[in-house]
Formats: sequence, structure tokens, C-alpha cells
Amino acid sequence: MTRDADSSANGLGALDQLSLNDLNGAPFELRALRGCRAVVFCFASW
Amino acid sequence: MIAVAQDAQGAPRVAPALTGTKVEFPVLLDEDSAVARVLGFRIVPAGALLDADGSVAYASDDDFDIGDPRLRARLETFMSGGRLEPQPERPVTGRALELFAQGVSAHSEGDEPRALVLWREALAHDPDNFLIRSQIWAAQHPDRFWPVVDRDWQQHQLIKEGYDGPLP
Repeated sequence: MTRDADSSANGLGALDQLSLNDLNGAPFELRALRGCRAVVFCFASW
Repeated sequence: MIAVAQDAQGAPRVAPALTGTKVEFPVLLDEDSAVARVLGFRIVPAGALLDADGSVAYASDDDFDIGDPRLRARLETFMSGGRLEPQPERPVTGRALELFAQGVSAHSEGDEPRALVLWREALAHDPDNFLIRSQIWAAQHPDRFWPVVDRDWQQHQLIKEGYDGPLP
């Protein structure tokens, strides 16, 4: 297993920079989660 | 709370999976697994607990199941304002997921052969990454994933591919 210099699972701030769309195509900036504790749940349809 | 679908096939596959659920939080699409790349996830379900300053208090792709008492205990501590024990830094395989993301771009442009080449190259970098392996399978054998996931088929496929490990 390798580690990239610019990639870290504990890389604070990296999630903040992501912008994803919801199922209707509306953008959602993950930095909107700042200010409160949040749970991020990852799943897949398969 | 938010949910993030690590699903290269996008909304047409994800939306039906939510039918009949009572999800009241945002469900986001992450076709190229950017969240997994940041958090070091190699399979789903997975998840993270974020502090108010945006830092990752906890992340896991091996016990993020609400039925797991370890996660329930962490969630209760976290949501009641408590502090979690620091985790060791999680190893990530960024190159694999970068290649995977390039494959997703090819896939979205309709170039499935190029997508599969890139996804297989990504998997060669990280054979234990079941986000990548499953996406390859799903693209090539959709009948084994929708409407029902065929785990027996996946088990046999792992053996055919020479993977020396169990199906997660």
C-alpha cells in the first residue's frame, strides 16, 4: 500500500473543498457542514 | 447527516435504491469517489464523523454499520459532545482512485472501453479496493447487481480473478 504526499485520510480541509450534486442535480458544498458535528455516510446502489 | 453515493452510474442507479426508505437528509452523488479518496475508503458502507471545524474525528470502512455496537458507542459519545480517541492515520491509495476518477470521466463521455482500461489499471494499484473492483463488475455485469446483488456470483468472480481473500 502506498501513500501519496498530497493525499491523507486525515487531511483536514480536503472534504471542505468538495462540491457534489444531490440526486436532483443541485450542488452541495461540503463546507456547509462546518459549524456543527456531522455524520457522512458513504454507500452504493450495488 | 449526509449520505454520499460512491456510484459511477449516477442518479439512475442510486435513486431507485432509496425508494421506500425514509431518508430525510441530503443524498449526494460522488461518481468518481472523491470522498473515498480523501478519507481512504476502499469499500462501502463507510463513513466519517466530522467535528464542527471540519476535521475528521473518526473514519472507517470496516465497521460503519449502525448495527455494530462499536459504531453506536462512538456515535453516542460524539453526538453528545464527547471526544473520540484519536485514530492512527489511515493509509490511502490516492493513485488508484485518481485513475478510477479518470475512468469515470471516460465512462460519462460514453467511452466504456477506455473507462474499463483505466479502472483495471486502478485496481492493479490497489487490488483490495472493492469500490473499484465492484464498479468494474457493475459496468460489465449489471444483471448481477440490479435489481439484486448476486454475492454468490461475486464470490466466484473473485476466485476467477485470482484474488486471494474473502469477499467483504
